[in-house]
Formats: sequence, C-alpha cells, structure tokens
Amino acid sequence: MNTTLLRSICALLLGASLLAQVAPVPVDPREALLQATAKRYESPAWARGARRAGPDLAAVALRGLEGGAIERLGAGPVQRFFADAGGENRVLVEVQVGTNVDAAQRHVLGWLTNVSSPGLVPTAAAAGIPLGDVGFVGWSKPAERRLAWLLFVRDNTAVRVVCLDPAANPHPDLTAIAQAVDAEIQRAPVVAAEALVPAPKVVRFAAAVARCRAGERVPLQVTVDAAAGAPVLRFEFEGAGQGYVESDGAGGHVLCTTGPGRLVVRVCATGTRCTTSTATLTIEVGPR
Amino acid sequence: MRARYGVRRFGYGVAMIERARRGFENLRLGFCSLGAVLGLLGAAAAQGPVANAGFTINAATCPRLADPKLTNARIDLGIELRPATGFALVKVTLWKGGALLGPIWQGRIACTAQPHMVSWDGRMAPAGSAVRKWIDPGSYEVQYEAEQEGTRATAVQRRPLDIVRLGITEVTALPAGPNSEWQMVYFKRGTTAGTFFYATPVLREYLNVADTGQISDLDGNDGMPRPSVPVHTATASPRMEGTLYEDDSYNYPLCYRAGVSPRFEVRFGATGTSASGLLVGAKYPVPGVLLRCRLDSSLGPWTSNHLTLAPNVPEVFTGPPLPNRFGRTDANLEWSFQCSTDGGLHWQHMAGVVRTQHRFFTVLGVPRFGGASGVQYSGPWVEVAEYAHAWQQALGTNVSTPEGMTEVVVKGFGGQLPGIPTAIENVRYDTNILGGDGGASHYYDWSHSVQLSRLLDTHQNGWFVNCSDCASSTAALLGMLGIQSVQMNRLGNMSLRAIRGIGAPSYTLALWGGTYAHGFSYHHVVTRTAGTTICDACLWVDEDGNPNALPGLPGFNVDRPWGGSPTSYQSLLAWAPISYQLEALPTLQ
Repeated sequence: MNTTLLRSICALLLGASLLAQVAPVPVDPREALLQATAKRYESPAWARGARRAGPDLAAVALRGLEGGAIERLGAGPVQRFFADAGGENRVLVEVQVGTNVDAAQRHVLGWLTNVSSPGLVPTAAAAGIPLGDVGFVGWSKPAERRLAWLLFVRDNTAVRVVCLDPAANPHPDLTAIAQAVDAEIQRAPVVAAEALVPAPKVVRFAAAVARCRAGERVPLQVTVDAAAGAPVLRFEFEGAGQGYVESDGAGGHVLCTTGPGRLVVRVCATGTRCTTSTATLTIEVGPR
Repeated sequence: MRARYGVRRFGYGVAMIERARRGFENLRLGFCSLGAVLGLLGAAAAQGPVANAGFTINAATCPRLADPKLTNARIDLGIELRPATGFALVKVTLWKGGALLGPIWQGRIACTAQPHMVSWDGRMAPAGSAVRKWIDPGSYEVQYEAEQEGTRATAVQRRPLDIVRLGITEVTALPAGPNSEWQMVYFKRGTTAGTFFYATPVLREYLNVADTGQISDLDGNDGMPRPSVPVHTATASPRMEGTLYEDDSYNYPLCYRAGVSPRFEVRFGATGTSASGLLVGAKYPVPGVLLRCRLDSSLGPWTSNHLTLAPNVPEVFTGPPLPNRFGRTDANLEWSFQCSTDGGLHWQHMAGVVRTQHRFFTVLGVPRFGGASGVQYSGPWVEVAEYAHAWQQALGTNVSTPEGMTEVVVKGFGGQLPGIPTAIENVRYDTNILGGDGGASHYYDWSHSVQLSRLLDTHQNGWFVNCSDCASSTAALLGMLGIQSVQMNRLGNMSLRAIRGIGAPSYTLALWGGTYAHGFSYHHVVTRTAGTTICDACLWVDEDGNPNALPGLPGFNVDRPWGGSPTSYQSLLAWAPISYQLEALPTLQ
C-alpha cells in the first residue's frame, strides 16, 4: 500500500472519528447491554436462516406430555406448558417469531443478557446437541447431562425450552423437545422477502353499541381468520372505564362493563403459529 | 276451664267487634277512638262481654314498621291494661284490609303498671296451612283486645303496622378524597390455566342480588332472607359462577389509603319473595313514615345524612378512620333501622339488623406501576396485599412508615425467617448447586416486564429465580403497595464476597460450584432513593465482620446504603466498586 493511499485512509478514518465525536449517537442503556452481549457471544457470526412463518406450536407433540393452551402475556413470547400424566406442568416452551432474523436473534441475546453467571453460556453445539442456527445450554447438572433449559434461534424464530423442575425425575428429554420444535420451525413455509410474516387477521371487531351505562353488557363481534393457526383470543383494556369479556355461551363474546369512563378494548389474537394481531374498539361507558 | 270459657266468649266478642268495625273506617287509624270502640262493645254487651269505660287496653309498644326477616328481628308488642289490678284475657290479632288474618298471641295476663311484652316473630300460618311463614310486606293492623276478668269488661285498640323488606344489595366503596381508594386485582380465572386479570368492579365491590331463576333480590325462592355474602378470601381468582365471573353475589376486599375514613354508597333492595313464592316489593317508603339506617361496626360508628330510605336509591355512609398503617382490617358491620312518624323529631328503633363483613386493606401511598394501561394496574393485587399482611404479622414490623413497609416486603419475599419459613412461592436461586442452572431469568423478560402472575401462581415458570426475577417482583410489590420512588437498578459485573442466595440453605463462596468464578455478570436490585440505598431480596450479604469467609451472618438488604462504609452494599457484596444503571418499574403480566 503506498503512503499516499495510507494517508488518505487515515484521514478518512480520523475524519469519521472526529465526526463521531462531534455528533455522538445517544445509546439506550439497554441497547448497549444487548450490544455488549452480542459482542461477547459474537452474534454477527451466527448462521442466518430464511424468513418463515412461525412454527405450528399446537402441532408439537411430546411423548408422555400433554400440551396446554397457547398463551401470550403482553409483548413476551408465546408460551405453552406441557404437563405430565399427573397434570403437573413439567416443561415450558417459549417461542418468539420475529419479523426477521435479526429480531429473533436479538431475542436470544436478551435471554443471554439476563443470565447472571459470569462466564459465557455454553453453546448447544459444544454440548453435542444439534439445534437451530445457534443454540445455548443451561445445565442443571452437566456431569449428568441434566438440562435446565435450552434456547436457540432458527431462522426468524427464537425458542426457549425450560424444565420447570430439573431435579425431578423422570427428567424430561429437553433435547428431543427442543429438536421437535426446531423441526416444526423448518416445516413452516418460507415467507417472500417483501411479504409479512403471517399472523391472524382480525377481520372484524365491533361492539353492538358505542355508548352504554356502567353495568350493561355489550355484545361484541369478533371475527378472526385462521390462516396463521386457530387463534386464541385475549382481551386487554385501557382507559378509565372498566369491564371484562365473557363468552356469551353461543360462541360469541359479551363485554360486561363494571365501571364508567372511556374504555378501550383490545383483542389480541394469537395463532398456533405463534404470531399475534390486535384490534381495538372504544366504548363510552357512562354512569349507571 | 275458666280460661277456655273465657277464650270462647272472647272470640265471640271479636266477631262482634269486626261487624261493628266495618261501619267505622276511622278505626283503621293509628289510635282508634276509644269512645267508638266502647260503643261497639256496648252493642255486643247483651250477648257477652260488656264495654266498661274504666277498663282500657293500650298498645304501649307496637312498631310502626317492621321487617321480621332481619337478623334477630322480632315485633315487640306491649300490652298495657288499666286499671292496674286483676287479670284479663288478651288477644292480639293481625288484620289486613279489614279482614282478620289470624292470631298473633293470646293469653291471661295481670293488669299491672308495667306493660306486658309479647314478642312476635312475624310468622303466621296462611289459611289452610299448618306451616307458619313470614307475613308478606304490606300494610296491616294489629288489634289488641282484652276482657277483664270478673267484670267481663272489654277494651280494644288497633295500631297500624307496615311490614317492609330491608336488605342490602350493593355496597360501593367511594374514595374519601383524591387518591384515597383503589380497586384490587386478581390474576386468575377460577381453575382456568393462564393469566386473566380482573379488577374488583368500580360499580360495587359488594353485590347480593337474585341469580338467574331466582325470584327476588332480598330473599330466596323459599322466602328465606338471602344471607349476606361473605368476604371473598381467595387471593388469586375472583369469585366464579361455573366458568364465568360471578356477577350477582360477591364481596371483594377494598383498598384505601391508610388513615382515611372509608365511604360506602349503599343500595337497599327493592324486591322480596312472598310466603306463596311470588315477587313482592319492599313496600317502603310508607306515607307519613320516615325510615333511616344506622350503621355501627367493629371499627366504630358510621355516619350518614340521609333523611329517609327508598329501595334502590343510593345512600352514603362514612366510617371512622382506618388504621394509619399498612394492613388488613376485617370489619363487622351492623346495619339497623329506625322509623319516625313525626317528621324526624322522634325515632323508633326497629328490631333486627343486617350484618355484613368487609375486608379493608390500607396502603401508605398511591400504588405505583411500571405500566399505565391495563387491568393489572388498577390497584394492588389481592395476593400481594395478603402476602404483605402475613409477612407483617410474622415479623411484627411497624408498617406505618415506608421504611417499615419496605422491610416487610424485602424480608418477607426472601423468607427463611421465623414465621416465614420459605421464600415467596418457595422459589430458590437459579444456580446449579441448588439444582438450577447459571442464573437465567424465568419471570423477568427482556421487554422489562415481569410475569408476576406466573410467580404468584405456584411458581408456574419453575422453582428457580435469578436476580432480575427477584428485583422486578419486589419492585412491583413495593410499588403497588404504595411505596413511592421505587426503581430497579441494574448493576454491572462483580466478584462476590460471601452471600446467601434466596432459598439457599447456607452462605457460599462458590455460587456456581467450585470450578466457576464466584461472581455475577450483572446483578439486579431495587432502590427507592435513586441508588443511594439498595433493597435486595435475592440475597443476603454477610455481616459477621468477615464477609470473605464462611459462615455468614444474615445481612438483610433493606435500604442498605450503597457505598461509603464497611457495611454498605457495595462493600459487603463485592470486591470492587460496581457500576449501575437505574431503571423504571417493570410492566406486569
């Protein structure tokens, strides 16, 4: 490399550096933590898969375990518990389907950032467990190869499989469970580059009236397509008004108002493919 | 023998009186004309008893209103005979619309200066039935009749009696000023798996009305008074009716700021069930009669300014101040009634009461949450308040201050203390020496949310917790119980001194086992002083003077100074200064 070129490169780098000093980009402390974790775990080097529809979590069958309902609490991952023959939950599977691969990998980094032991969490590959594009292992008793949890990312889906009581026997085969979920991810169709990851579509969400008196019951119309798997509905509420939603006994829903004020009702439809869509409506709940 | 004869003759006299009564409507007034009665009795005298101006009967006691279905109700009838000498045969009967319904009481009594008291339970056997049932609400007359022994002189008096149906169907806890009262929250829905948030209804926290298929709000279909609803003592789920939320019968705990006087808006029911199983009105207000309710309680008397009650019209009662500290107070309330026929100058006590029980939680300040909208932020969670109450009872801590309250939550959460044998929900620190792994979070999520509902639901996400789970949960508990300025505090990496993790049997210098560094890649704690003091329910530091060796002496981290002394948090926890980053309260799931 000649001297002139080297000087030019140095000048450019210095200029860029100075520019960076003049206009520093504020870093969200939590983003900084995530970046630090990414650096520790060298996530830019992780394999990157395709973008797919989410795995059909309802289709995941585990030998000797009975899967529960699919649930999503807030912005967290979709969760499904698996219980033993006695009805006791033994395994929790958490799934977060990202809009892209980066989002899923960030979710795995988030899990890793909240591991408080000082060393690096060992990889699944190092433990001889083929899993995902990259996976990690939480050992309960490594000498016995007894796992507490496994987490991995495959394509745009992050997964954590947790043994709820690692000391209990028989110990569930977390590897087989995680690999079953991994296989289900790979069975999901690839999504075209310009397309959205499939999610349930709330076709209609409407109330029979826009205003009511506190204490009244208001029929709701909720129609959700099942293109992303049979949806599970969850209702959330905002605003000064108060209420809850009940089944009307005929497959419909009814809003039971219990306090006056503007009430925003949000329906969250989570499909078995672990994606969620929401829709809201507003009702003015007047005094009784 | 004599008595039998007397009664037979007496019944004949009643029939005569009734025939005469039909011609004199004024006898339906409260005090019938003694002269008229005597005249009537005179008409009957040729066939039996004789009216005697010197012999009188007076209804010394006869309630103007009564509800025999109230608890401990009775209708006290005082019979006063003059002159106060000798004996008389007395019969008290009930009349309605000019028709005799039946006898209330009869017997031979001494004519004395003191009235003879008869207590009637308000029941009577309907025609053709031997089963005594409560008489239905409505307007009646009580007729007092007497025949003096020896002279066979007779006397009669009638008094109006209105049977009403009194009972409480709704109680709404009202605020006593800004930021003084909050709804409480449940996180489960019966036995349905999963998290379902439910806030106690703003409309009314106490409801006791007819269910589907039931006839009236105040009575069962058999006419028996509907019992008050006991306090709902479950902590995870509201009351259920099958798979649906209960919507006609509940009594939820209330949450007020410590030291305020609670206010209740109360509705009295409008419908009862008749003796024949039909819907019947409560039959008040009664023209010319004021009716008011008085409320006493184990907390002290309540006040109210209402003039007269009407069914389904809300009335407000103000209670005595609640304890000026955090806590749970179970109050027994006794609702009694009074009536007045002179516009409120004099009030007559009505026998019988309605009793209800109510559970109050008092918090030291406005509940604080990391999230803004959502049912889970409506107020303190019932299970959390119950936990804190139980911890306070075990620790005996003064909880009239935020410092005391913080101590209760931090120590109680970690447990392993006298009276609190385990950590909350029996969780333990997530290290493989305890059977867990490397300190992963199981309830706290990277979105800065904690699945507190899962933790409180018998540690649904597993036994093991790490520092983020503990810090986010304790921060949430402190905030919702009214402790102000609570933040999470994320500390940087550190090499540790001796600690005892939550749920661990002992102190350790090898948290992750012998071959791993005794340290944290990060640690999460709580502060309510922007980092100058630390609350940490996840671990105890070692206060025995040698924090680098075992065993350890429990050092609870309740508002422990962050730095600047050998007993500060930094000094006892780590070998070197620690970086930190303050964070907001977590959102809740």
